[in-house]
Formats: sequence, structure tokens, C-alpha cells
Amino acid sequence: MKKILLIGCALAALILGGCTPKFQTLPPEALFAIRPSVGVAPLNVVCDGSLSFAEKGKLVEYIWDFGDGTRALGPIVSHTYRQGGTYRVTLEVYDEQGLSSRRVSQVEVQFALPTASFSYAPWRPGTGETIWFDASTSTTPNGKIVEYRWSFGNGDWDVGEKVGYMYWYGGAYPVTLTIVDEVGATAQVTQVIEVQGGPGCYTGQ
Amino acid sequence: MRLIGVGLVVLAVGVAGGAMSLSVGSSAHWVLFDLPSLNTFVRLANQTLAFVNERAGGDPVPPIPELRHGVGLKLAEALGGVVRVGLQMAVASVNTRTQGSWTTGETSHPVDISLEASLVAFSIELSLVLVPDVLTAGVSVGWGSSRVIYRCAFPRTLPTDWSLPFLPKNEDTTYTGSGPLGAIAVGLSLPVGQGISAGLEVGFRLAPAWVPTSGAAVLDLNADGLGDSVGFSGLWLGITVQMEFNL
Repeated sequence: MKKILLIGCALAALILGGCTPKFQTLPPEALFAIRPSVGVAPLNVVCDGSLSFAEKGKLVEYIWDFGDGTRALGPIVSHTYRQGGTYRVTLEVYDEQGLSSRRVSQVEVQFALPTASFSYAPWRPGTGETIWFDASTSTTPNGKIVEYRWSFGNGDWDVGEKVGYMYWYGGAYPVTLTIVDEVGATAQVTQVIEVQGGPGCYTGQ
Repeated sequence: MRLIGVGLVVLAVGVAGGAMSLSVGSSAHWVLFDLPSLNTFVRLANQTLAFVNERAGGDPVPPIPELRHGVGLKLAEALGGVVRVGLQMAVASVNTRTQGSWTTGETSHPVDISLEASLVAFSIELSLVLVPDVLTAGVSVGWGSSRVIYRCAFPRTLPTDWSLPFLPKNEDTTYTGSGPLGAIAVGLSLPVGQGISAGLEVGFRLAPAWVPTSGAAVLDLNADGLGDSVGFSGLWLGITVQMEFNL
């Protein structure tokens, strides 16, 4: 009789436990906000996880993963993304019972643009005289510059960080430097070169 | 096997023995619901509303009340003497809603979120008349069919420079599910006329939670990739009216 009563109580507890959520353990909910979610590197973002809550008890741990190999702890954190790219930001929260949940968002960090600049010498060149163009003052925050392309304003072009060129006709020539860095970001700069002398001035036609 | 046989005989004698009567009754219920997955969504939505309310202009959008209690109705008929066997149909429902709008300059961001959960159950009831015309206790088993109606209009672009990965999904969908359920109830009544009695009933419904679906989609309001199970277990308190016919 005792055994039947015991089995009956166990069955009742099982059924109640399965049917009534009050007896079930409910995980917490991770919820957060990010500002900003899009921007140019270096991008400083603030992540606010204080919206997260536990169904029972309170939250004891907030673990952030910024998707670039770095992590942080705490309900409200900030992080700086130095490289462009799309990053998954994950917040995982734990409650007093050790239950957890996570939520994921995305931050889009745009590559910062490089800066193209060049110098040339001599600064008042004549026809038939070699002009040396130097793009070594160009910079990029995205590693290295991998391509320097020159356009000399008369249909001719060349590649390289430092190049020499000779004009056969006098005139005003717009010289354009285009640089490309290792993430594919580009920049351009144009300077007008006044070439002295010679009756046959280049008209650009 | 012998015990089952004896039990059936006792039941048959109890039903058929003594004065046989047909009772037809109806009751209106105040029903307690325990819908944790739906209320988790309500809390998520309310956290989001509160966060944007603090940063947006205009009147704040009110929070969504949690789903705690609703109303129900039961129709039943039973045949028997001291022990009665019968059929019953019960319905219960609960709903909640919030509406409002955030304003930035000339731009309005309307919000309208509503959630309704309802159950229809058909059961076979076995009841025991403890005190004739006054006190009965019963147990029922049957099948329930549920419906969760989720309607939401929520701005995708918020009037704040914060970005939130969780936003209530814009939808107008009815999710359905079904499964077995059972209930126990105790009724206390007093005669008010010839063959008519009125009284109170308290009961508890046991229904395992199931995940409602709409076609191939499952209910997942908290967007965690897992279906939200909805169970209709809970207590009810009702006012009953019953008519009894001696056969």
C-alpha cells in the first residue's frame, strides 16, 4: 500500500512538473543595445546589457564577445574596433542558478580611407626635363599601400611609389595619383604641373 | 486485470445504481493562466519599449500587461447516480495589447502589439456526488485545441541612435496547436428551484505545453531560434448553474 502511495505521489509530481511551468526552471533572457552599430574605424561602441533579466532571481554574470577576439565582463561595456569589417557581438548572461542565454547583434565597421599625397621636383620643369614624382608621403590606416598609379594628364600613365616622367610640350598638366591599400580602400589627389617652354604647347586634344 | 474488472463493475453500479439523473450545466470562469514563454516575450517587448521611451520624444508607449488571468466558459452534461459520466466543452482565453507612437520632428513611429491565447477543450468527465445536490468532485480527460494570435506593428527604424538586436517581429499570425489535457474540479451548489441549482466551482486544468505552429513556422516570439511552448495549466474559479432531470 505504501509503495502504491509513493508511486502515485511520484507520478503526480512528474505530471505536475511537466504540466505546470511554475515548477520548471526558466532561463534568463539576454537583451542589449549598441551605439553606434555602423561607423568608420577606429569605432568606439557602447554596449548596454542592463536590459537583460532573469525570470527568477537575478543575473550574476554578463559576458561580452566582440567578434574580434576580445571579450569583456559587466552589464555596460565599451570597445574600440580598429579594423574595418562586420563583427558579431554576443552577450551571454547567467543567473544565480547557473542558467544562461545569449543574444547576437552585428557591428559594421567601415574601413578608414587612406590619404594620397605626392611631391615632385623640379617644381618649374621645362620640356624635355625629367620630373621626379614621389608618393611616399601617402598614408593609410589599413596596413600598407599596395598600388600607386600615376596619370600624367596627357594619356600617359605609370605605376610605382616614385616615378620619373618627361613632357615634350609645355603646358598645364593635371597629374593624378591614385593609391590602393591592402584592404582595397582607395584615394586620389591631383596637382597641376606647369611645364615651361616650347612653342608646341599641349592642349589636351 | 482483476482489479480493473472490479473497478469497472463498481463504476457501472455507481452510475446505474440508485436514482439515475441527467444533469446539464454551464459555468462562467475566472481563469488563472501561467504562460511563461508568452510573458517572457511581453517582458522583452516591455524592456525594449522602456529603453526607447527614455530616449524618444513624445508620449511614452505604455508597457504591455502580462498574461495572467482571463475568462472561460464550460458546458457540461452528465448521466448517472452517485457516480456520473458525462461530456463537457470548455473555452478559456486571455489577451493583452499596447498601442502608442513615438514622434521625432514630423516623423511618427507607431507601435501596436497584441497577443491573445485561447483554448477549446472537449473532455469526458467522471464525477462523484459527495453530498447530493450540494457537493460534487470530478475528474476529466480530453483533448484541447489552442490558438495564439500575435499581431504586431513595430518601427524598424527607431527614434534613437541606439541599435537593438531584439525588436518585436512585425506579423499578423495565428498559431495553433493541440494536445491532451485533464482537469479536476470541485463544485458547491445550492438548489434555487425545482431541479435547478447554482453555486461555485473551483478546478485545476493540467495541460502539457506544446509549441503552436502556423504552417511551417513555429511560435518563436523571443527570437532565440527555439519554439515557444504554450501550456494552459491553471486554476479556475467559476459560477455554475445546473439543471437536473430525474430519469
